[in-house]
Amino acid sequence: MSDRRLKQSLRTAFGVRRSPLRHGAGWLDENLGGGSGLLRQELRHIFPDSWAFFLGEIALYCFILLVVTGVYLALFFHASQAMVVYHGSYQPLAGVPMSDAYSSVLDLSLDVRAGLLVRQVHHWAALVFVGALMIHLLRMFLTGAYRRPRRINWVIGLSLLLLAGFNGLMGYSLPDDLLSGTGLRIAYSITESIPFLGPTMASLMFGGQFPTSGLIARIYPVHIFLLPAAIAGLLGLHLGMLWLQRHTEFPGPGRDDRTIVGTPMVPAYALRTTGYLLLVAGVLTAFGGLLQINPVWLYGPYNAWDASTSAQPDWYMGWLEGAVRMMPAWDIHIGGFLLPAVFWPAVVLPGLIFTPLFLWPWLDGMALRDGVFHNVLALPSERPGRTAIGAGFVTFLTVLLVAGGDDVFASAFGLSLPVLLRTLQVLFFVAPPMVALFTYLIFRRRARRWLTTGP
Amino acid sequence: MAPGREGPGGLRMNRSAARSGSRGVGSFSGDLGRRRLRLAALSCVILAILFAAATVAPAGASSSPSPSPSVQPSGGVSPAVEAGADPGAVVFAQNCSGCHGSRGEGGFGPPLAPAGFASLVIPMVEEGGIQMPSFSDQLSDAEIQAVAAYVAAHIADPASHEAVVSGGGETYRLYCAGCHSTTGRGGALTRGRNAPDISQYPAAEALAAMILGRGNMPAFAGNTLDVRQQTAVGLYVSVLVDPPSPGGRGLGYLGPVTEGAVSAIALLILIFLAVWLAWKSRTAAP
Amino acid sequence: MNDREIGAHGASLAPGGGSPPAPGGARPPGWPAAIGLVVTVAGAVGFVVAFVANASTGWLGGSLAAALLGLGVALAYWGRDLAGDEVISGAYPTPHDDVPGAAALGADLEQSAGVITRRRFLSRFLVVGVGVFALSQAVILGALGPWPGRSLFVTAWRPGRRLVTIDGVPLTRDVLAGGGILVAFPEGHTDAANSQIALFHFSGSEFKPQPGRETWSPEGFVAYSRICTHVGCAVAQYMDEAKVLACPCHQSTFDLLDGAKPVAGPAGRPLPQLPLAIDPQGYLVAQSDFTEPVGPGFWNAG
Repeated sequence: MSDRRLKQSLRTAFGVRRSPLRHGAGWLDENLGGGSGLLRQELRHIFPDSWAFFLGEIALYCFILLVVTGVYLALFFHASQAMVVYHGSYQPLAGVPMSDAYSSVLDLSLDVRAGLLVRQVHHWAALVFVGALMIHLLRMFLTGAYRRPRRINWVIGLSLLLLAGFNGLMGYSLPDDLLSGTGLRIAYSITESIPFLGPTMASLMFGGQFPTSGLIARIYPVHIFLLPAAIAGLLGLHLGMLWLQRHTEFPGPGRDDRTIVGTPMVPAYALRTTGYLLLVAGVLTAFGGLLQINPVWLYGPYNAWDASTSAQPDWYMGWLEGAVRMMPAWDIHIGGFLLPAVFWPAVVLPGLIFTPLFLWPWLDGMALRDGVFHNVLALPSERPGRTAIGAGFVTFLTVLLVAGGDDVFASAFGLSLPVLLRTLQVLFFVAPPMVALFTYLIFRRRARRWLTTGP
Repeated sequence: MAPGREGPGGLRMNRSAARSGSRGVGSFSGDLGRRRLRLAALSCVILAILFAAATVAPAGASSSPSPSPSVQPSGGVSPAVEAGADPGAVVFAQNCSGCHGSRGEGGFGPPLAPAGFASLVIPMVEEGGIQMPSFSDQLSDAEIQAVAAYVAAHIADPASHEAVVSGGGETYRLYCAGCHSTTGRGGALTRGRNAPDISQYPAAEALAAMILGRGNMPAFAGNTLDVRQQTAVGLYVSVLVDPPSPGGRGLGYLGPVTEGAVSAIALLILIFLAVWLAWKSRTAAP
Repeated sequence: MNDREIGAHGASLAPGGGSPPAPGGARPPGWPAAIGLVVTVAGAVGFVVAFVANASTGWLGGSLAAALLGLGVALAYWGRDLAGDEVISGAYPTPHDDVPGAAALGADLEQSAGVITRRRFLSRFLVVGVGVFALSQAVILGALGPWPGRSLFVTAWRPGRRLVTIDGVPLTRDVLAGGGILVAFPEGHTDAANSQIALFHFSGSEFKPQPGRETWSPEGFVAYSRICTHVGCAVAQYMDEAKVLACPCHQSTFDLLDGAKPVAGPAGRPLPQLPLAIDPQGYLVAQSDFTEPVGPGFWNAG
């Protein structure tokens, strides 16, 4: 007996008239009213196909995973720096006075079943979240996806990157361990270095002179509510605009700025993207279960008189750390006032990096005199100049990132740290233009070939 | 860390003593020469006997696969020792006192006052350290246990027994982590130097370096750290040698640098899965 | 917005459900999805068993990951291979570079909002009023924390206050007889983070007091603030042969024999020195607080 006959006879046997899907859809229509036409249309919403379009989904699904695991963590974390004496199962810290926050993280990690798994999945997901955002941004940049009418969405996306990075910094600082506490001290000092307003801003933001007893309690609502809400809101706008404007597509047969070609939402795309959500969750769960990350019990509780070598922030802040390490001790004394050297790499440089990034769609449009609507992407080889700038920028960030871990690289590879630092300081200026030039020459040749003979 | 071949009490043949006769300072010709020759021969024989005694005695104490039933159960101890003596004391006297002093007060080697736990002594004796040979070839496991117990009970300062691992951790993070990192993996210092990865050495090596200092590492003795604190740091370093990693593989314990690199692998895996997913179905018409 | 089916890449889904027959070939097999689902069930069961048995993180994570990956592979494979290779085309939303369209919107808006925009003075006053109100709320931020005042210039050191270890043991003139380093705090304030110092004992010949500070180092005892003047980490690396104190964060290096002046790394200011004295009972005491702010530099540190 075929499927259909079996189903029909079962339905007759149980008195079911319609399939569950039809039944459910009908119920929705009757109770919502008026929306069924729109929904019916959107069932066939078209998604262009490319592996490169999954990069944003990696970020989206990491965010979902972060929220789910984060809610679980929030049920155990004590956002308080009240001093307690540890009496959990980890003997090398038995009897050690520590903050309630640190103690609660130890308890969750070492004395709650699956607690460490959830915590590690949360941390791995955070690292991959920001990485996926950066790669996604790079793809946008190289294919010109930020052009009209998606300029605002570019700004929203860049804001999401900043919020995600900042939220990650807040998140890994919550356990109040020696590694992250040192990072908070550095953040405080960087804020202090701002001319005129610095010490006041630092004292207001942190709640007093570092170390304050209310810092973790202040970071907590920012990390679990304020920034995730901002991210969720901007994400809603981001996806909403994507939905309304439709996703861009790579050039190909039947595709142009007025015609979108791709896979319908139901059934294929929905299945694929749901499958991908589970694959992202699965890979991150595997990492969270098998690879240890951020073992705070080894770092010890934060005390301002403790310090450790090989101290870095999480990787996505590594570029800032590298800039701070590479900046020479060029303090400026103006009259009776001091402008500390760290102001330039830690405050000015991020502004210099992100301002052109935010303005890029307009800068690019002005430079290329291109203000028309684009729905078809440009291949990197079509715009060798843009690709070269992107390559140079990535090189620039890579040099900073390596500088951020310079002491670890030096001791791991047996290099002399001063020599490595000097080399990186030279590469800071030399490498990005060289890579950009090299990329330009390669892609210009490709572009010529592409334009004459076709893709 | 190559195992030393001569025992600490070993004597070396003085070659110039045997050669001076042929140098012409005193020849062996004539009556005076014959007396010199007799004297030289006699001293050679005496030296040979002493040398043999020195090399044979430790060899007698080294482990043999099947000790003869006439010697004590701890294995091959020199029959010159009276029956009933603490075997650990005997091993100590014969192997350790040369460098560490007869009462463990130190000498060439550091004082053993903080060696209050067998867990600190045993790995050091078995593996050796930078300036200490390994004794795993010369001493049986039972002998090593015995000397460790003897050191902990009789040689070490009683205050060392009050040491607590967690107290050692607090001291470690205050004085040691700045150079050796919280996980003990060492790190780059200024001026092209490196603080070593202390997990590569037995914990007692850290104790020795702490008490005596080593190169640019200051001594943490006297008033900086007392015996109890030194022992505690040694116990904590033992933990760091193979730290507990309940979360899975430790990834080298170097912190966020390696974690960031590994997260890039996760991202690459996910991109690979995306490539697979977006691949056009092979059954579709091109 | 009408959707059109191209038809070049296979037909749409058959009305009765099931995967469409691919042109010229057999249907894609369903077993990979089935295997994925089997793995999902096995993983889920495994997770429950591992949880109940209090298994290690590896087993918990591995089983849960298997469950998620199995389901993910099943759905992804279903969407990729079993749901047909349907490709459809449609129209992008009409681009609005036509000026009349944008202008019409502007005109409509102006007409409906004319009640406000026609009264020029009043509408400007509205803007100013709302702006002033909004900006005024920023003053609330001023109570987020204490204003620094002189707090950055003051630590817990006072004239005559004894130096103690972190455990509160007072230090006498016979400490550090063999060299080395001690971390010390003011007596009664061993939790004062900004008051931590590093104490050394140098012989008279090697240590050169800074001009005006000849009385600050009795019997060769020298104390410097232990907070790095770069970005505030504890300066925890003491190199005994080189007689330098270096910071583990960014490798700022301070020459202890020459007033802790920075000789390498990104720090720009020397470590402040604490003036020491030895009281009649032989204890090390401070003569006074530091004479400059400790820690990283800031605008009015001067």
